[in-house]
Amino acid sequence: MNCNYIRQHILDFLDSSLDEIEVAEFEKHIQHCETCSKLVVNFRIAFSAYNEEPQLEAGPYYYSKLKNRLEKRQANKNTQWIFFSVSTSLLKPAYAVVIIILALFTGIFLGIHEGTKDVRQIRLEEYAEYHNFHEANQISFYDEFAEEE
Amino acid sequence: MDEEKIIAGLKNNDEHTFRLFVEQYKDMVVNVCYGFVHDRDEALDISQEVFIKVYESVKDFRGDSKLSTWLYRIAVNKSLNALRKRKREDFFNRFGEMNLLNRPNHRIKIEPAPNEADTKLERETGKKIIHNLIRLLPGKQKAVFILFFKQKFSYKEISEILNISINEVGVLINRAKKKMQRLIKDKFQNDLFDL
Repeated sequence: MNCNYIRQHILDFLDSSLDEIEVAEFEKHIQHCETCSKLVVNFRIAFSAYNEEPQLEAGPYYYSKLKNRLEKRQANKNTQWIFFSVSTSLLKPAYAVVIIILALFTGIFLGIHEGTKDVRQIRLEEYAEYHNFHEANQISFYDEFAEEE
Repeated sequence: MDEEKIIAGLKNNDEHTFRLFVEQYKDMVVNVCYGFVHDRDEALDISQEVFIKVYESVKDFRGDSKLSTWLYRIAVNKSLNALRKRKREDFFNRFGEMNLLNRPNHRIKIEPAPNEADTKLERETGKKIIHNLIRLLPGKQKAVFILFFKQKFSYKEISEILNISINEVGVLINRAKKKMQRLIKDKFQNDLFDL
Protein backbone atom coordinates (compact mmCIF):
# COMPACT_ATOMS: atom_id res chain seq x y z
CA MET A 1 0.00 0.00 0.00
CA ASN A 2 1.49 3.34 -1.07
CA CYS A 3 0.69 7.03 -0.48
CA ASN A 4 -1.47 7.23 -3.62
CA TYR A 5 -3.67 4.44 -2.35
CA ILE A 6 -4.09 6.27 0.96
CA ARG A 7 -5.14 9.48 -0.79
CA GLN A 8 -7.52 7.59 -3.03
CA HIS A 9 -9.23 5.83 -0.13
CA ILE A 10 -9.04 8.35 2.66
CA LEU A 11 -12.82 8.95 2.77
CA ASP A 12 -13.51 5.20 2.69
CA PHE A 13 -11.19 4.87 5.66
CA LEU A 14 -12.83 7.71 7.58
CA ASP A 15 -16.38 6.51 7.04
CA SER A 16 -15.42 2.87 7.76
CA SER A 17 -16.12 1.57 4.25
CA LEU A 18 -12.91 -0.44 4.01
CA ASP A 19 -12.80 -4.10 5.00
CA GLU A 20 -10.72 -5.32 7.93
CA ILE A 21 -7.66 -6.27 5.87
CA GLU A 22 -7.62 -2.92 4.08
CA VAL A 23 -8.02 -1.05 7.37
CA ALA A 24 -5.07 -2.98 8.87
CA GLU A 25 -2.87 -2.15 5.88
CA PHE A 26 -4.06 1.44 5.86
CA GLU A 27 -3.16 1.85 9.52
CA LYS A 28 0.16 0.13 9.02
CA HIS A 29 1.04 2.61 6.26
CA ILE A 30 0.05 5.72 8.19
CA GLN A 31 2.03 4.56 11.20
CA HIS A 32 5.19 4.72 9.12
CA CYS A 33 4.35 7.60 6.74
CA GLU A 34 4.29 10.99 8.38
CA THR A 35 2.77 12.75 5.35
CA CYS A 36 -0.17 10.36 5.06
CA SER A 37 -0.61 10.33 8.80
CA LYS A 38 -0.95 14.13 8.82
CA LEU A 39 -3.33 13.99 5.86
CA VAL A 40 -5.58 11.51 7.63
CA VAL A 41 -5.53 13.55 10.85
CA ASN A 42 -6.34 16.74 8.98
CA PHE A 43 -9.19 15.12 7.09
CA ARG A 44 -10.55 13.65 10.27
CA ILE A 45 -10.57 17.15 11.80
CA ALA A 46 -12.07 18.60 8.61
CA PHE A 47 -14.91 16.07 8.48
CA SER A 48 -15.66 16.36 12.14
CA ALA A 49 -15.77 20.18 11.77
CA TYR A 50 -18.03 19.79 8.74
CA ASN A 51 -20.37 17.37 10.51
CA GLU A 52 -20.47 19.36 13.69
CA GLU A 53 -21.18 22.69 12.07
CA PRO A 54 -23.74 24.41 14.28
CA GLN A 55 -27.26 24.26 12.91
CA LEU A 56 -28.47 27.60 11.63
CA GLU A 57 -31.56 29.15 13.09
CA ALA A 58 -33.96 30.91 10.81
CA GLY A 59 -34.56 33.67 13.37
CA PRO A 60 -37.69 35.06 15.01
CA TYR A 61 -38.72 37.36 12.12
CA TYR A 62 -38.47 34.66 9.51
CA TYR A 63 -42.21 34.21 9.05
CA SER A 64 -42.99 37.94 8.90
CA LYS A 65 -40.27 38.46 6.28
CA LEU A 66 -41.59 35.51 4.33
CA LYS A 67 -45.14 36.86 4.53
CA ASN A 68 -44.03 40.28 3.26
CA ARG A 69 -42.21 38.68 0.40
CA LEU A 70 -45.18 36.51 -0.47
CA GLU A 71 -47.55 39.50 -0.39
CA LYS A 72 -45.22 41.54 -2.60
CA ARG A 73 -44.99 38.65 -5.02
CA GLN A 74 -48.76 38.31 -5.18
CA ALA A 75 -49.24 42.05 -5.55
CA ASN A 76 -46.82 42.03 -8.49
CA LYS A 77 -48.69 39.13 -10.02
CA ASN A 78 -52.00 40.98 -9.64
CA THR A 79 -50.52 44.14 -11.14
CA GLN A 80 -49.23 42.15 -14.06
CA TRP A 81 -52.65 40.52 -14.47
CA ILE A 82 -54.43 43.91 -14.29
CA PHE A 83 -51.99 45.36 -16.82
CA PHE A 84 -52.59 42.39 -19.09
CA SER A 85 -56.38 42.68 -18.84
CA VAL A 86 -56.31 46.49 -19.26
CA SER A 87 -54.01 46.25 -22.21
CA THR A 88 -56.24 43.58 -23.73
CA SER A 89 -59.35 45.79 -23.35
CA LEU A 90 -57.48 48.77 -24.80
CA LEU A 91 -56.28 46.73 -27.70
CA LYS A 92 -59.74 45.46 -28.63
CA PRO A 93 -60.73 48.52 -30.75
CA ALA A 94 -57.29 48.47 -32.36
CA TYR A 95 -57.77 44.82 -33.31
CA ALA A 96 -61.18 45.73 -34.80
CA VAL A 97 -59.69 48.58 -36.87
CA VAL A 98 -56.91 46.34 -38.15
CA ILE A 99 -59.42 43.64 -39.14
CA ILE A 100 -61.63 46.19 -40.98
CA ILE A 101 -58.63 47.62 -42.84
CA LEU A 102 -57.50 44.14 -43.79
CA ALA A 103 -61.00 43.26 -44.99
CA LEU A 104 -61.17 46.48 -47.07
CA PHE A 105 -57.82 45.90 -48.72
CA THR A 106 -58.66 42.26 -49.41
CA GLY A 107 -61.90 43.34 -51.05
CA ILE A 108 -60.18 45.99 -53.16
CA PHE A 109 -57.46 43.59 -54.20
CA LEU A 110 -59.90 40.89 -55.17
CA GLY A 111 -62.06 43.42 -57.01
CA ILE A 112 -59.12 44.70 -59.07
CA HIS A 113 -57.94 41.20 -59.72
CA GLU A 114 -61.35 40.03 -60.90
CA GLY A 115 -61.83 43.27 -62.98
CA THR A 116 -58.49 42.74 -64.70
CA LYS A 117 -59.53 39.24 -65.58
CA ASP A 118 -62.74 40.47 -67.23
CA VAL A 119 -61.04 43.14 -69.34
CA ARG A 120 -58.48 40.62 -70.51
CA GLN A 121 -61.21 38.14 -71.37
CA ILE A 122 -63.20 40.77 -73.26
CA ARG A 123 -60.14 41.78 -75.27
CA LEU A 124 -59.41 38.16 -76.12
CA GLU A 125 -62.98 37.65 -77.24
CA GLU A 126 -62.80 40.84 -79.34
CA TYR A 127 -59.54 39.69 -80.86
CA ALA A 128 -60.97 36.26 -81.67
CA GLU A 129 -64.06 37.85 -83.20
CA TYR A 130 -61.96 40.18 -85.32
CA HIS A 131 -59.73 37.36 -86.45
CA ASN A 132 -62.62 35.11 -87.33
CA PHE A 133 -64.30 37.92 -89.34
CA HIS A 134 -61.18 38.49 -91.42
CA GLU A 135 -60.63 34.81 -91.94
CA ALA A 136 -64.26 34.31 -92.99
CA ASN A 137 -64.07 37.16 -95.48
CA GLN A 138 -60.54 36.22 -96.61
CA ILE A 139 -59.27 39.66 -95.93
CA SER A 140 -55.65 39.90 -94.98
CA PHE A 141 -54.18 42.59 -92.81
CA TYR A 142 -52.51 44.06 -95.90
CA ASP A 143 -55.75 44.10 -97.81
CA GLU A 144 -57.41 45.95 -95.06
CA PHE A 145 -54.52 48.36 -94.96
CA ALA A 146 -54.65 48.78 -98.74
CA GLU A 147 -58.40 49.43 -98.66
CA GLU A 148 -57.91 52.11 -96.10
CA GLU A 149 -55.25 53.73 -98.25
CA MET B 1 -51.45 18.73 13.62
CA ASP B 2 -51.38 15.70 11.32
CA GLU B 3 -50.16 15.87 7.76
CA GLU B 4 -53.56 15.53 6.10
CA LYS B 5 -54.88 18.52 8.02
CA ILE B 6 -51.77 20.53 7.13
CA ILE B 7 -52.16 19.69 3.44
CA ALA B 8 -55.87 20.53 3.53
CA GLY B 9 -55.13 23.83 5.33
CA LEU B 10 -52.39 24.75 2.87
CA LYS B 11 -54.63 23.93 -0.08
CA ASN B 12 -57.29 26.24 1.38
CA ASN B 13 -54.68 29.03 1.77
CA ASP B 14 -55.24 28.97 5.53
CA GLU B 15 -52.67 31.38 6.94
CA HIS B 16 -52.60 29.80 10.39
CA THR B 17 -51.70 26.40 8.91
CA PHE B 18 -49.08 27.95 6.65
CA ARG B 19 -47.51 29.70 9.61
CA LEU B 20 -47.43 26.47 11.65
CA PHE B 21 -45.93 24.64 8.69
CA VAL B 22 -43.22 27.27 8.20
CA GLU B 23 -42.39 27.38 11.91
CA GLN B 24 -42.10 23.60 11.97
CA TYR B 25 -39.77 23.24 9.00
CA LYS B 26 -37.95 26.57 8.62
CA ASP B 27 -34.74 25.55 10.41
CA MET B 28 -34.49 22.24 8.57
CA VAL B 29 -35.02 23.91 5.20
CA VAL B 30 -32.53 26.69 5.95
CA ASN B 31 -29.92 24.10 6.95
CA VAL B 32 -30.50 21.95 3.86
CA CYS B 33 -30.02 25.06 1.71
CA TYR B 34 -26.97 26.10 3.71
CA GLY B 35 -25.45 22.66 3.08
CA PHE B 36 -25.36 23.58 -0.61
CA VAL B 37 -24.53 27.27 -0.66
CA HIS B 38 -22.50 27.69 2.56
CA ASP B 39 -23.73 31.23 2.96
CA ARG B 40 -26.24 32.11 5.68
CA ASP B 41 -27.98 34.99 3.88
CA GLU B 42 -28.24 33.08 0.63
CA ALA B 43 -29.56 30.01 2.48
CA LEU B 44 -32.25 32.17 4.15
CA ASP B 45 -33.16 33.69 0.81
CA ILE B 46 -33.45 30.32 -0.94
CA SER B 47 -35.42 28.83 1.94
CA GLN B 48 -38.01 31.60 1.60
CA GLU B 49 -38.30 30.84 -2.09
CA VAL B 50 -38.88 27.21 -1.09
CA PHE B 51 -41.84 28.13 1.14
CA ILE B 52 -43.25 30.47 -1.49
CA LYS B 53 -43.07 27.63 -4.00
CA VAL B 54 -44.90 25.37 -1.54
CA TYR B 55 -47.56 28.03 -0.98
CA GLU B 56 -48.07 28.56 -4.70
CA SER B 57 -48.05 24.95 -5.85
CA VAL B 58 -49.50 23.00 -2.95
CA LYS B 59 -52.74 22.76 -4.95
CA ASP B 60 -50.89 20.49 -7.39
CA PHE B 61 -49.48 18.31 -4.59
CA ARG B 62 -51.02 14.89 -5.13
CA GLY B 63 -49.79 13.28 -1.93
CA ASP B 64 -47.57 10.68 -3.67
CA SER B 65 -44.92 11.35 -1.04
CA LYS B 66 -44.83 12.87 2.41
CA LEU B 67 -45.21 16.64 2.55
CA SER B 68 -41.80 16.96 4.20
CA THR B 69 -40.20 14.87 1.41
CA TRP B 70 -41.75 17.16 -1.17
CA LEU B 71 -40.51 20.19 0.79
CA TYR B 72 -36.93 18.85 0.87
CA ARG B 73 -37.10 18.04 -2.84
CA ILE B 74 -38.01 21.67 -3.55
CA ALA B 75 -35.22 22.83 -1.21
CA VAL B 76 -32.63 20.66 -2.99
CA ASN B 77 -33.77 21.78 -6.43
CA LYS B 78 -33.84 25.46 -5.47
CA SER B 79 -30.36 25.19 -3.93
CA LEU B 80 -28.94 23.44 -6.98
CA ASN B 81 -30.51 26.11 -9.20
CA ALA B 82 -28.94 28.82 -7.05
CA LEU B 83 -25.53 27.15 -7.41
CA ARG B 84 -25.97 26.91 -11.18
CA LYS B 85 -26.91 30.58 -11.30
CA ARG B 86 -23.89 31.46 -9.17
CA LYS B 87 -21.65 29.41 -11.47
CA ARG B 88 -23.01 31.24 -14.53
CA GLU B 89 -22.52 34.60 -12.84
CA ASP B 90 -18.97 33.64 -11.82
CA PHE B 91 -18.25 32.67 -15.41
CA PHE B 92 -19.58 35.93 -16.82
CA ASN B 93 -17.83 37.97 -14.14
CA ARG B 94 -14.56 36.28 -14.93
CA PHE B 95 -15.22 36.68 -18.64
CA GLY B 96 -16.01 40.35 -18.08
CA GLU B 97 -12.80 40.89 -16.23
CA MET B 98 -10.87 39.11 -18.99
CA ASN B 99 -9.10 37.05 -16.39
CA LEU B 100 -9.63 33.76 -18.14
CA LEU B 101 -6.01 33.42 -19.16
CA ASN B 102 -4.66 34.35 -15.77
CA ARG B 103 -6.81 32.16 -13.60
CA PRO B 104 -5.11 29.51 -11.49
CA ASN B 105 -5.05 25.88 -12.56
CA HIS B 106 -7.57 24.84 -9.97
CA ARG B 107 -10.61 26.66 -8.73
CA ILE B 108 -10.32 25.77 -5.08
CA LYS B 109 -9.00 28.49 -2.88
CA ILE B 110 -7.42 27.07 0.21
CA GLU B 111 -6.35 29.37 2.92
CA PRO B 112 -2.92 28.57 4.32
CA ALA B 113 -2.97 26.34 7.35
CA PRO B 114 -2.05 28.09 10.56
CA ASN B 115 1.48 27.73 11.78
CA GLU B 116 0.51 27.44 15.38
CA ALA B 117 -1.60 24.57 16.55
CA ASP B 118 -4.82 26.51 16.71
CA THR B 119 -7.53 23.86 16.67
CA LYS B 120 -10.29 26.29 15.87
CA LEU B 121 -8.47 27.59 12.82
CA GLU B 122 -7.59 24.07 11.76
CA ARG B 123 -11.23 23.12 11.94
CA GLU B 124 -12.28 26.22 10.00
CA THR B 125 -9.69 25.49 7.30
CA GLY B 126 -10.75 21.86 7.16
CA LYS B 127 -14.40 22.82 6.85
CA LYS B 128 -13.62 25.16 3.98
CA ILE B 129 -11.73 22.41 2.20
CA ILE B 130 -14.68 20.04 2.54
CA HIS B 131 -17.06 22.76 1.29
CA ASN B 132 -14.82 23.38 -1.70
CA LEU B 133 -14.54 19.68 -2.49
CA ILE B 134 -18.34 19.38 -2.33
CA ARG B 135 -18.65 22.39 -4.62
CA LEU B 136 -16.71 20.54 -7.28
CA LEU B 137 -19.10 17.57 -7.32
CA PRO B 138 -21.71 17.28 -10.07
CA GLY B 139 -25.30 18.24 -9.08
CA LYS B 140 -26.82 14.91 -8.09
CA GLN B 141 -23.65 13.64 -6.39
CA LYS B 142 -23.49 16.88 -4.47
CA ALA B 143 -27.13 16.56 -3.38
CA VAL B 144 -26.72 12.95 -2.29
CA PHE B 145 -23.46 13.67 -0.46
CA ILE B 146 -24.94 16.57 1.51
CA LEU B 147 -28.18 14.77 2.33
CA PHE B 148 -26.33 11.65 3.48
CA PHE B 149 -23.24 12.96 5.25
CA LYS B 150 -24.46 16.32 6.46
CA GLN B 151 -28.21 16.03 6.92
CA LYS B 152 -27.94 12.36 7.95
CA PHE B 153 -30.86 11.21 5.83
CA SER B 154 -31.12 7.48 5.14
CA TYR B 155 -30.74 5.98 1.64
CA LYS B 156 -34.51 5.49 1.56
CA GLU B 157 -35.25 9.09 2.51
CA ILE B 158 -32.77 10.40 -0.06
CA SER B 159 -34.29 8.17 -2.73
CA GLU B 160 -37.71 9.67 -1.95
CA ILE B 161 -36.46 13.25 -1.83
CA LEU B 162 -34.58 12.99 -5.11
CA ASN B 163 -37.08 10.61 -6.69
CA ILE B 164 -34.43 8.03 -7.57
CA SER B 165 -33.95 4.38 -6.61
CA ILE B 166 -32.17 3.35 -3.40
CA ASN B 167 -29.50 1.62 -5.52
CA GLU B 168 -28.87 4.84 -7.38
CA VAL B 169 -28.36 6.65 -4.07
CA GLY B 170 -25.62 4.15 -3.17
CA VAL B 171 -24.01 4.49 -6.59
CA LEU B 172 -24.06 8.30 -6.37
CA ILE B 173 -22.55 8.31 -2.87
CA ASN B 174 -19.74 6.03 -4.04
CA ARG B 175 -19.13 8.17 -7.11
CA ALA B 176 -19.09 11.34 -5.01
CA LYS B 177 -16.54 9.82 -2.64
CA LYS B 178 -14.39 8.54 -5.50
CA LYS B 179 -14.47 11.92 -7.20
CA MET B 180 -13.48 13.65 -3.97
CA GLN B 181 -10.66 11.20 -3.37
CA ARG B 182 -9.47 11.69 -6.94
CA LEU B 183 -9.45 15.45 -6.36
CA ILE B 184 -7.50 14.96 -3.15
CA LYS B 185 -4.98 12.75 -4.92
CA ASP B 186 -4.61 14.65 -8.20
CA LYS B 187 -5.07 18.28 -7.40
CA PHE B 188 -3.92 18.90 -3.90
CA GLN B 189 -1.65 16.18 -2.75
CA ASN B 190 0.69 17.49 -0.09
CA ASP B 191 -0.20 21.15 -0.29
CA LEU B 192 -3.82 20.48 0.68
CA PHE B 193 -3.24 21.20 4.34
CA ASP B 194 0.18 22.74 3.81
CA LEU B 195 1.79 19.63 5.22
